[in-house]
Amino acid sequence: MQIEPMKNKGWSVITLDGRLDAITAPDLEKQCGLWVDDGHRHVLLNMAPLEYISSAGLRVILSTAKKLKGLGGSLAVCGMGGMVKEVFALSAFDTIIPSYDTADAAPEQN
Amino acid sequence: MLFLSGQEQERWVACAQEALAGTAEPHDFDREIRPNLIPAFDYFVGTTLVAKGLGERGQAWCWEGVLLEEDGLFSNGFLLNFLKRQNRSLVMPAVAFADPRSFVHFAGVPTIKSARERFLKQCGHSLPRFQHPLRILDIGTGNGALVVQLVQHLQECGKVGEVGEILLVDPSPAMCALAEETVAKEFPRQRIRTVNARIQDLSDMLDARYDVALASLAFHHMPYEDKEVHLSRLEPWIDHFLLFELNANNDLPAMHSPELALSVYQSYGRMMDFVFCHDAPVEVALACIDLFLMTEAVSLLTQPRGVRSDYHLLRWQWKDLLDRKLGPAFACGCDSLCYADEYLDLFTLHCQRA
Repeated sequence: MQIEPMKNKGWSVITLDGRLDAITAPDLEKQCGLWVDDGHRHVLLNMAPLEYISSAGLRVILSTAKKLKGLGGSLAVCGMGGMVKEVFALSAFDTIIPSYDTADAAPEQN
Repeated sequence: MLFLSGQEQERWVACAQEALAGTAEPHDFDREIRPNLIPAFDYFVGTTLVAKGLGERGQAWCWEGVLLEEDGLFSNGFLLNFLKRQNRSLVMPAVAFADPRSFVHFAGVPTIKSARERFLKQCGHSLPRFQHPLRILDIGTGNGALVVQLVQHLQECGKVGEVGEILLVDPSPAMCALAEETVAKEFPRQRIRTVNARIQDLSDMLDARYDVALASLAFHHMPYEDKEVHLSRLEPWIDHFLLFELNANNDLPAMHSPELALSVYQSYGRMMDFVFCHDAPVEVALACIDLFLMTEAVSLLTQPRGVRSDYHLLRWQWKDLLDRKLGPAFACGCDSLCYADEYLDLFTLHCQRA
């Protein structure tokens, strides 16, 4: 997981790699809390290098989306492919979390 | 666990009627609803609309609630996901427990596993030492794992020596087969009987006494008035009744009532979160949600009392019921929590012949 978010079109873009499961999800949850404390409100998770996501990983993404929404922000994902994309479609999380092909395809945030 | 006042219930019903008539949109009532209950209100209106065939409008209400839910609750989110998989309909994709794997997965998620361990510990503290071979009746045995763990725990703590008989009762043929295999593997030389039936079909046919009747998440599959009947029928045949249950207001409230929707929102929402907290391949977690938890939730949200599959009582209602139907011959031996948070708790009640 990339610790320092990159700024792109008003989004704080964070790149996730490897596996997002019960072992790594708490790290993402903690890190997202720190980004929120630092004032990041619109977070875009770049999931292109992510190889695997479990139910616990999906839960953390939804939980972070709720937290950001409560602060007037938003969360979206981009770059999903392979198994991760299938899981998002299968679970229908793509109806709740906006998804874009690339970070550049996400709409501008103010 | 949160409840509505009578005034709030009336207002929620009136608001839902406006939404059904098409004269109200999400957020129209936000000032009238307790702020922390807005997502639950959206869930109530959304599920009412979907149940009446207004899937698209119902989804719009749930959508408004999805990102406003309190920590640990994902009821609107999981409902929206489910609705997408089921073409915007509140249909039951399966008969609950027809495939044991979903329940087995649920029983193994850490929160439920740890609550069941507390239940076993509490039974060990509360039950007496049995001087004769134990005869135990397991009502709604599931995969049989809990009765195995209970008997083994009682043996470990010196409460039980020999086992006389284990009677396994479950209405699901698949569960019965699995339970028989599980129990026979651990107690190969003991008498094990399996009856593929509901306890409702068996309670007036019992012909032998049992030291212990165990009912784990099983006795809630019948309405209050049936619980009364079957507890009364069990009473002469047992000395100890062990109940492991979910504390929820899912029995007496009517279909489409705000009280029922709020209870389902809290109890099933938390249980779905327990499943997603646990690391599992997504298809396994989703099967547990769709084929077990959502199947039960849909029954609660779309079927009237007498038809629906689940009737969880509040803990105080259980105590009152057990007191009336087993007392004065029985007294309370244990009344303890196995798990508790703001929205859901699981508890042990042990009634013993006085």
